[in-house]
Amino acid sequence: MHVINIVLCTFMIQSQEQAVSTAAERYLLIYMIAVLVIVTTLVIIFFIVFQKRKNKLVMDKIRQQQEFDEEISRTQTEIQEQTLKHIGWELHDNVGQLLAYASMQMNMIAASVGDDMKENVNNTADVIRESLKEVRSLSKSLNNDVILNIGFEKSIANELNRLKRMKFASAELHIKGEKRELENKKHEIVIFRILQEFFSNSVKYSEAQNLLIKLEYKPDSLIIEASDDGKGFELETVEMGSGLINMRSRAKLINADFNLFSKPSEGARLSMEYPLQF
Amino acid sequence: MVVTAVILPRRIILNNFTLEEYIKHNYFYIINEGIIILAGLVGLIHLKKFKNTNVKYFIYFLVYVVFVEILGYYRRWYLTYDSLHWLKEFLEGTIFEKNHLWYALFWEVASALFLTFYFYINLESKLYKNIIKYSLITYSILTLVCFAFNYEIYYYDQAKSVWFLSVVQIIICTGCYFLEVLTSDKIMLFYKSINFYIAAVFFIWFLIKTPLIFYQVYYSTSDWSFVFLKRDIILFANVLMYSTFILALIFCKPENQKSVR
Repeated sequence: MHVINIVLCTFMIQSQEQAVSTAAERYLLIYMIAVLVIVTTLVIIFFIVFQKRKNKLVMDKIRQQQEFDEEISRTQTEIQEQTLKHIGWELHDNVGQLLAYASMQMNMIAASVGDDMKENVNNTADVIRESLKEVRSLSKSLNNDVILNIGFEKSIANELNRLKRMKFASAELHIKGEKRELENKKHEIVIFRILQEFFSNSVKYSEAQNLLIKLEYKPDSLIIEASDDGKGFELETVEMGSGLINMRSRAKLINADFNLFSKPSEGARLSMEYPLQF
Repeated sequence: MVVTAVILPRRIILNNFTLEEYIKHNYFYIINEGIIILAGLVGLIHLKKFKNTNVKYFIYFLVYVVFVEILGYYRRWYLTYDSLHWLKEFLEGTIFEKNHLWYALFWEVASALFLTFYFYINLESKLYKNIIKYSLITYSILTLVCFAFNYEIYYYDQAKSVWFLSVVQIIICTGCYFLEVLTSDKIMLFYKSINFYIAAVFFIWFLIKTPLIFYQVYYSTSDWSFVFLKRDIILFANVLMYSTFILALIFCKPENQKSVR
């Protein structure tokens, strides 16, 4: 009886006691949480590394494509320069020589004809002389060696003079700021060719009377502005001819900021900002 | 020192122990409350950076959590400070005598509701928005029913049902966010998005805390090894969560997104 009492008492005390966790249960809890944290961290790290690596590959590919495109447009410009140079030479050496010969012949004829014909002959001789001058200045503007040699400001001035003789009422060049040499001589040619493209558009489409070029040397950039007072065009609706696209891609090639503004009946204005230092 | 004394109303202990002993005995409160308050402060410091994004709501939430945490110790406060004795008489014998209901309402339910709101305004897909919306309705109804039929449990314990409902709701919200990230271009730069870290860390935190509910039966004075273990697990989970928030707030850049749509 006594024994049973003791057993009962122990049982009652035990059942009243709160449940106690075993070490195994606690370790399981710790282990589970550790596994959870490690697995999630691993998944996240894996994803981050994967994604970073992938983004890097994609960026590399884009960069390669850009370099390729740049190389292509550089080659294009070079080929163009070569062609222009060739034409320039031909004009100078071939057509120029023929005209010079014709001019000499005319002088000889002028000396031998009678007074009644003299005026006509002299007029023709003048025309031939004019043509010779035109051909020479055209060949100069086409040959990039000449541009490099005399500087692009002088080349622009020459080109403007040529255009003025040809078509325009006025063609002016304004230079502000202290003149400085461009670090990369080739960029001079690119800028000159962009302006040439602008002029040729003005001549072909705009029916403009006046041309104005402004060069402004700033401490860290060169600002080039060209404007005409022609009939202009709607920027959104104009068909992007190869001229406009060429200007843009050339400006990009020399890291210049290129902007073209135009509205119908308000003329066209081109502005470029070329960084003088990198 | 003044600051810790204010945060941790254990003045009696502070008066009798040296600083080292005080820290040794109260490291849980110092680190736990410290990192929560730090997260709130870092959030407020970076509020300007995230002013134009939805992240500002998350920062408001962090500040709200600081108040919930500090006020959640009301039992400790009135047991320590004589001037708050009236509170003890006021609360003794009511359902608020222990703070289980406080945390259930202002942390479990509030964080589930906040995450629902937060991911609802951050998600773009109509489908996921709808999933979150309808799961919120279900969640609200079920939680109300649980509170109505089970409220007595809060006299001495927290209700498992409310906790699980909150966990499910949070998993749905974060899950929808992860799915949207995976199926959109956001995946390209997901590791730069603060929302990803918010979602991931909430997800992990609730997964870590959930098994502790099963072990709740051991949480008594007769099983000190479990009590200490539980305390350390909670500390680990909180430090993990709030330090991730702090780092994310500091290093993540605000994304270009519209505010609430």
